Amino acid sequence: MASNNNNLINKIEVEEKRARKRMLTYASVPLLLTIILVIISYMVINNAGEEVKELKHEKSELEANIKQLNTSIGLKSDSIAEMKKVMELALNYSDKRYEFNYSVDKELYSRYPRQTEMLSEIRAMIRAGEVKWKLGGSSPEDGFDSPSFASFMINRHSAITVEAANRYQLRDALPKTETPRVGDIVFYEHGYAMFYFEYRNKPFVIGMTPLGLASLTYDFGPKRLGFGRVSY
Amino acid sequence: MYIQKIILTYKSSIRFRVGFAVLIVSIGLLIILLNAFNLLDFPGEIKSIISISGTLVSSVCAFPIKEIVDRRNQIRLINELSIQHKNSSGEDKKRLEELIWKFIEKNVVG
Repeated sequence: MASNNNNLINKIEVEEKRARKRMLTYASVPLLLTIILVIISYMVINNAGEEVKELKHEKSELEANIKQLNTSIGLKSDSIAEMKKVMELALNYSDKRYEFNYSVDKELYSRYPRQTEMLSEIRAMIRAGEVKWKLGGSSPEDGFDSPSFASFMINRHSAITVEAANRYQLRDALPKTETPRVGDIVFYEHGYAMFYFEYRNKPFVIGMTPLGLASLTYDFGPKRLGFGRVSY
Repeated sequence: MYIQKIILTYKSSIRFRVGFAVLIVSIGLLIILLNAFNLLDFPGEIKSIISISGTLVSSVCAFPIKEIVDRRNQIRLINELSIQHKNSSGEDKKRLEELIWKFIEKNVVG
């Protein structure tokens, strides 16, 4: 009986040890699953975080690009609108041309020799049709815009010199006057800078327009802004 | 004497399981609290998962608790039968003794 009882107690002890091991095994399964879940989630979220970071960086770059493009579009639109206006005016002044011939030169030369030389040269250029209009151009081969052509001719025929950097500030660079004389510059809206001439008390202007070199009536279209004195 | 030995073995098992359950619950709570007070260096998106993990770890204590309850019931029954065995005599005492051992063999050893 006693040995039976001892056997039973031993069995109980062995069974209890097994039960402990079983419990630890069963408990470790959800613990392991939890650890795996956390590790996988951490990795996935970390990767997502990296992607979000990259996308944010791309977004800020794209936003900067959009801003730059918007500014560029704005500037281009302004430029196009300005060009449209200039072209409209250029088309409108086709009936405002001032026709003149060599007799004008003869009559003017005795009083305004340097200015008349310039006028003759411009007329020759108009006849040859080689000097074209070009925005920002600064040579006869390249072409000119209106202030660039005026500066170029002032430098060739007058007693003053206009620096290349100042050609778009011609209105500020030249002394202002209320009563223009032959050879002075007349400033119009939209950037026109034309030379002032008079023939038999009838004024006309000559210079570069978007349609090329042209001699036009004094009030050919755009509003007059002022005059710049040029010494010869 | 043998009965007392068996009960002591059970009590030792219960102590082990109580210790294990307390350890598991403490680890789970520690994870939840550290996460709640931002003492764990994890990204914000994973915080809720960490809290759920703490809860899962704590819930593992259900395994030892179930076994603790089982063993306490067994101790109670063995004690009850022992008291009756002490108070009985003659043929009844012998039958009760057999009954106790049969109970232990069946319910404890399996």
